[in-house]
This record gives sequence, structure tokens and C-alpha cells, in this order.
Amino acid sequence: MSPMSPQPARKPALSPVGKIRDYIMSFEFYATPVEQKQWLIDQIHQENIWMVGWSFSRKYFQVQGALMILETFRSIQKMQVTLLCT
Amino acid sequence: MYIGRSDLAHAAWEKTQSGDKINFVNSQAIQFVASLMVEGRVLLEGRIAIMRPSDYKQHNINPANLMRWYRKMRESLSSIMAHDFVVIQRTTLGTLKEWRGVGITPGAVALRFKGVLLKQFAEGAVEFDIKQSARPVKTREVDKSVRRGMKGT
Repeated sequence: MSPMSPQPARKPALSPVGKIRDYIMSFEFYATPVEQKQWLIDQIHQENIWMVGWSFSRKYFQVQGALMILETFRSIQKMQVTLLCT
Repeated sequence: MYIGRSDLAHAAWEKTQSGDKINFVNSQAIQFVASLMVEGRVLLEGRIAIMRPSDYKQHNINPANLMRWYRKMRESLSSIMAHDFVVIQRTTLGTLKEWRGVGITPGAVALRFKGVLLKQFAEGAVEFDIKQSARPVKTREVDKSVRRGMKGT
């Protein structure tokens, strides 16, 4: 189903501070928006949780991501929201 | 997106030329990169991540509580994965490389069966696939293979 690809295929992702490096602690996954949203809601349903949204560009999939974040925020009424868009 | 706990640290900001940015280490946050659909045909890899313990210690931060919280989050995320499927890559050598460190949910498995492509990057040529796993993927196994996999790339 997928074309042949060179090896190694997986590239190191950008770290949370923007440098290319390998994480000692990271977990990669594929999931649907619905599954992730439910998981996030289950995880952050505590009063001491804060979240910050971040968008590097206005590309379609990133806007979709921001919408997912907003929907998650809306699901948790008592959260204090800081959404920073650049 | 960054998720933090105010009992560990409040969101810390720093001024840069391009505006205010979150200071990831001082905020003791967990980065959550969503797995997102691109134009209904590609599902991008998501991830949760934190920095190395030494990165926090360099800033005089004891990362023990953050590490404990991260492990709990990772185990929770791992528990919603389809443990009977494994992400694979078809290499130019004609072999199948298993990426047991990469999780895939039942919903994402269903999308793949519908023809949705699995990629790390939208513009990337490399695609991943799935296959039924002969043995279930366990969380501990995921940890080990993630480290091995990341070192090899």
C-alpha cells in the first residue's frame, strides 16, 4: 500500500524548544481527533492543570489542531484558558 | 500545545524577537502534538514529550514530579492504543521494519484500512503502514524501542 522508502525513514522531530534532538522521554502515536480529544479531557480534568496552545503557521492541519484544542477547552468549563496564536 | 500543572510550575514566558514564547523547561510542561488529518488523506504522527532530566537540572529544577506525571500520561495514552497492531515501514531493502515504539489507536487503524496514509510529516515521502502483531505491544517494550529508534535516526 505504501511506496518503498529509504532507510532510515524516521526523522528526529523538533524538540519542545525548537532544536533537533532526540528525546529521552517521548511517545509517538497515530490517533483520530475524537480519540485524542477524549483522552485529553480525561487527563486534564483537574483544577490545577493549565494548557497553552501554540500554532506556528496557518496551515490547514495546524488550524485543525487549534480547533481541537479550543473544543477541548470548551469541554472543560472551569479551566483558565491561555491561547497564544502567532 | 503544552500541558502543565500549577502545583509543579505556572506557565513561564520569555520575550523573543518574534513575541512572547513559553519557556518549556521552566514551565515543566508536557508537550502534546496532536495526530492530525491533512486533507482527509494523511494522518500525521502525534506525540507527547518532555526534555531530558539533565535539561531541568541545568535550570535548578528537580524533574522528579514532572517525570512521574509524564509516565502516568504516557501509560494512559498507551492504554488506548490498539495493542494487536504494530506500525511498520517498508524499506528499500525489501524488509519490514517494525516501529513498536509508535502507538496506533483502533480509530487510526480503521482509517488506515480505509486508505488514509500514515506519515510523520505532511510533505514527507516516507509512509508507514500497519500489520497485525503476533504478540501484543507492551508499554515497557514501547519505552525501550522509542529510545533505540530515536538514536538510530
